[in-house]
Amino acid sequence: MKSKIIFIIHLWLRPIGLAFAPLMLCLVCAAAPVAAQTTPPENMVQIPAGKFWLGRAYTLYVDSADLVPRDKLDDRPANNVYLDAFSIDKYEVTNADYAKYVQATGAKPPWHWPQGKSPNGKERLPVYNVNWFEAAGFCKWAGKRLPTEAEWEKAARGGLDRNRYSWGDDDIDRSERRLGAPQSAGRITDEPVPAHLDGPDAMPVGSFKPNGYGLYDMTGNVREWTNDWYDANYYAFMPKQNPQGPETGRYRSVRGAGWLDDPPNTIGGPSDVNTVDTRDFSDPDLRASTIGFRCAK
Amino acid sequence: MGRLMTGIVTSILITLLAAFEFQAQTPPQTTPAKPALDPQKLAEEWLNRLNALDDWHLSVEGKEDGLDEVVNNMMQLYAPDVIAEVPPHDEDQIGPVMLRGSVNLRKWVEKIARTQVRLLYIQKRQTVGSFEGQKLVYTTQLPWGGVGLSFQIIAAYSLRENRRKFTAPGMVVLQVGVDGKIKRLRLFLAETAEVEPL
Repeated sequence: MKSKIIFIIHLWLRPIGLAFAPLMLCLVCAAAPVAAQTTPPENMVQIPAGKFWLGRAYTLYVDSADLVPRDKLDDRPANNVYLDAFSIDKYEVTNADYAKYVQATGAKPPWHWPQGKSPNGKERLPVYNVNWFEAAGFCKWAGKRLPTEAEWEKAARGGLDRNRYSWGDDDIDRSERRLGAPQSAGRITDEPVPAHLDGPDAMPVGSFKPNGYGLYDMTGNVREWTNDWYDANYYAFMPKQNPQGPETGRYRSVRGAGWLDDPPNTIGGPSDVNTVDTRDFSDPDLRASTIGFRCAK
Repeated sequence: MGRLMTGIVTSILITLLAAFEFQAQTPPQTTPAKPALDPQKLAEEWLNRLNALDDWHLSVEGKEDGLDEVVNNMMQLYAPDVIAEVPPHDEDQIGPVMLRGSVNLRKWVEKIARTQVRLLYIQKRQTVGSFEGQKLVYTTQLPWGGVGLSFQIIAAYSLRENRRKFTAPGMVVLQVGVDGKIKRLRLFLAETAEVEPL
């Protein structure tokens, strides 16, 4: 009798269970991305989905000069752009990271490495003298990709809105100009620069304060390759949702400032390459001692 | 013999002299002079062609009948290497839109044609004392050749998608090359305001 009752209950509950199964499945599916959002891969930071102002939303005095074909006007107009959530490396890819890639794949080491090995004592410096193809190759090997130009800028802004620099709108202490090699626009910090690092080279990654997203060296140390082709006219008609850059081009977009760049000695001046909206470009074949990269996912 | 030679040389000299004199008196070959640029006419032409950008329609099959014609008509005014600075397209843009070359300018013109209707850009008149409203076009000769001109406008347009109507005072600044084509355009629109229906 008892087993009969259980059997009847079982018969009653089975369809209910079947009916709820898809619901349960949906709940699991919905929870999965949430879990993914909260746990970015190691040494990466999750940038939340949402809109932000891409490009320069403020006026520079050079704007009042007569029309010039390119110069500082490729970052206008600013566009209110939506990006899906993505993860981006907390630090620029270092010599040590790249050495692992070279060892694992037999890729060509940067030409400045002595005997093809990462320079001693400079393992934490960002890797440079890598061209766009090598940077993209590294990211692919690491299961990642180069960030789009829009992703890079959103990350560099650190959650601030229409700001000039990664840290806000404050200028860097002008006394920094006395330094021979201003390694980083990340110099807006109350931490002293270690004397032994004040030389003509990049700095170990993470030497300066991170931005609001916890990302280091977004507008300093080395300029960074992005995945996009460069087009000075792109912002005029760009898509407002997950822009991927022009379909083709001659140069790849490069963002951020490098250790050979001047610090922002004149806010808004033509030499100010440290702003988060400043755009630059380079031949994808070029290997430069001021261009490195970080990956996204 | 000496006299003969002197005679020959003298006659050659006289012939050459006569030929030179004849050439000097011949009026120089003239090319037909280019009609001088009429700044007021160009200003009106620019406004007329801009206002005509909504003069096309969608056919039953969804074809954009007449769109290319109105756009081509506007683009005929510009040089291939034109540089333009125009206002942002929508609320999702801040700052001037730089357009380099006629390919990019064409995209802007097409965008206006596709998104705006009831275009009414008019030249603003000025009155002083007893003078009736005058349409003023300010001009100057450009050091690098051609003419620079500017004029004040009042812009009015509606959005095609929802018929919301906007109006704005503004200014047009043009640089026209010696070939009569516009090489630089600056269109300023200030204080764009939505016109509430009565």
